[in-house]
Amino acid sequence: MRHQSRCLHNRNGSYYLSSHHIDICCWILQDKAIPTRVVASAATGIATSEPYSCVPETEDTITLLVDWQSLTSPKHKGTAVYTASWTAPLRSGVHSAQHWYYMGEKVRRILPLFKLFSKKRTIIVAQGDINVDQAHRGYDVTVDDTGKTWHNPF
Amino acid sequence: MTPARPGTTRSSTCVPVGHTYLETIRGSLMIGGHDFFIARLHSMKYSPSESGHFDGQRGYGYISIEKFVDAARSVNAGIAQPIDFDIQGLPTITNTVLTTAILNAGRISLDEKRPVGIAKEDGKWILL
Repeated sequence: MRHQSRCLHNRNGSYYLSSHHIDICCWILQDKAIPTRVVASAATGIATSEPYSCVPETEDTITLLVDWQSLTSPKHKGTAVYTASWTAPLRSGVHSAQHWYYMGEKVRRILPLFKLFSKKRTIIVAQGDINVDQAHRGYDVTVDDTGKTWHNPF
Repeated sequence: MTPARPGTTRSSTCVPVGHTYLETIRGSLMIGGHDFFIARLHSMKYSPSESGHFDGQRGYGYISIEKFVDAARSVNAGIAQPIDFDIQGLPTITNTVLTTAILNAGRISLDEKRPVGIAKEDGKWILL
């Protein structure tokens, strides 16, 4: 296992590690939903053991489960799961393998840029999901009407 | 609510026309047991400039510091107000307080082994 040295005096891994994930989620959901409840869970035992010997309270992996209440519909509630780790396997492929998954009632898919200049620009709104993986370019989008498609903004 | 037809017409493991396999990967790659590191050009530039100086000013972390310094200079020079940067979406206290509230609720949940409620009262976020 690899362990990042910046944890050595740190028992606030969630502040450091989850902040970007929660930040972008708050940004996406601004004026759409608000968080109402947070439950956290932590895995431990690697950071506090040899050779890392972090302070006893140091967590290895922290997961936050957050309820999000829609501001426009009382019956629509979302669940967000944020997991971040100090620990990762050696040679796991990337220094930081962040990925993001969304499944929801509305996914808006705008056809690629070269089609924006034609009058046939299409915006599809339907149930679906979005997959983003930091280790790969582009992202996956699934909507009910068209199935899975792969987009590469680069 | 699983999306209908999440088929495999084009999965992320496919190589789009015009891109090599390496171009679609960021990070490092195992080839024959050896670990090849591939520079993550979108976030870092470690190589020096033509004159041998630091050249990572457009890399991870630097742009946000530049924007903060520019904003602080504008306020000090009297040509901007701090609230202007709330509107622009910079990570001001106003724009980040909810993120911090969720993180702090997570810390309390771990320490006190209980769910923590979040609510808004009189325009302020409170933890319950």
